[in-house]
Amino acid sequence: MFVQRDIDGINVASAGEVLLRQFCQLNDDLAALSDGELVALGKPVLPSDRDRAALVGAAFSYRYAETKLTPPAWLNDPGLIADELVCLVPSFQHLIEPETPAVVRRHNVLFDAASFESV
Amino acid sequence: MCCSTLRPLRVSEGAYSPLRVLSSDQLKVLLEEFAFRLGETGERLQCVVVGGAALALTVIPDRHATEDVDVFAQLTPKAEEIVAALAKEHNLADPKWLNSKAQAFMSPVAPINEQDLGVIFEHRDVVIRVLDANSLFALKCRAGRISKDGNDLLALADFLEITTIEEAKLVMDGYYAGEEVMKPNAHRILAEHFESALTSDSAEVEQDATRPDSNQVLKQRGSYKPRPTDPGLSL
Repeated sequence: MFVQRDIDGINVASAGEVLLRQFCQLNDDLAALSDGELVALGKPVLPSDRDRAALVGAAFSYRYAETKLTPPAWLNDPGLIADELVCLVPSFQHLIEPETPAVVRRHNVLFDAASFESV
Repeated sequence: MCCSTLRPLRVSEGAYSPLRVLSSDQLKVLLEEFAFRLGETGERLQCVVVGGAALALTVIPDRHATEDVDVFAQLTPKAEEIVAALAKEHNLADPKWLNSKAQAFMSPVAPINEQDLGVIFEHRDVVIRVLDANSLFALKCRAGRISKDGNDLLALADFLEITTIEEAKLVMDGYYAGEEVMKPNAHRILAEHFESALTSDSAEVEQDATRPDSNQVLKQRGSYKPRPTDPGLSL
């Protein structure tokens, strides 16, 4: 519903907690979509920054994996892989890393599977 | 914290922002206006704010919350109309930003006694309360989300002066009456925190032999002080 605005928000969110919550809002909104709505979204306008684009890629890849739909080709874009490992809560990196799904990790993003869920 | 006299409507000003994250000040403005407008219609509503918004309004004032504000309440059509109007005026994307989707996660065995909860806003027959810290802690222990809830868990544990896993489980049992267990990730986060607090306290006591009462150090953990913002991405 509000996915593109969520992504625009990720593009401008200040680093740290605001970015974490904005990323959570994107995940909540993606989770609320039906399979058909998710596919109909197509490729969104991505953040210009590579690390933030990787976050968006991770969110979409996780949601596609959950729905069992075939992920779209745009999610394989190397531009959606962060240059260095991105973890939004570095103080818990050691706990988050083993709980990060492979489809998320391939974007060089660390985020535990449970935190993708709304409640 | 209760505001029985409310200010007139304030509409957000400033440049458009796509952010869908609210500060505690923004939350207060929205909820205050909601209570005022609904109260003016003569409708009755008892509403309890839960989740991240409740934390931002109480225990962690510098925390931000997603635009999706969860409440335990049955919103009437008039209430939903006001929620939608506020969304438009405050540039919120979702006309249902205030919603009761989290209602399903209320404890089935320990119904909340609303009269015991703190009131943040009220106007006429509209009362907005915030879920208590014990219940919020229990909900976070059940969810066991590291990235999303890790820092909230630590802040709540400090605020509630919980210093052991056993104490944490007691709080959870008080809310769920033993029907739910603490998720392993919540257990890990808290265990590490308690251990590090103990180590740090012991080191402090050893360094300062002149301190008159070593128990004083442990007592200080009770008052939560906001941690410096986790830098996350340094962009």
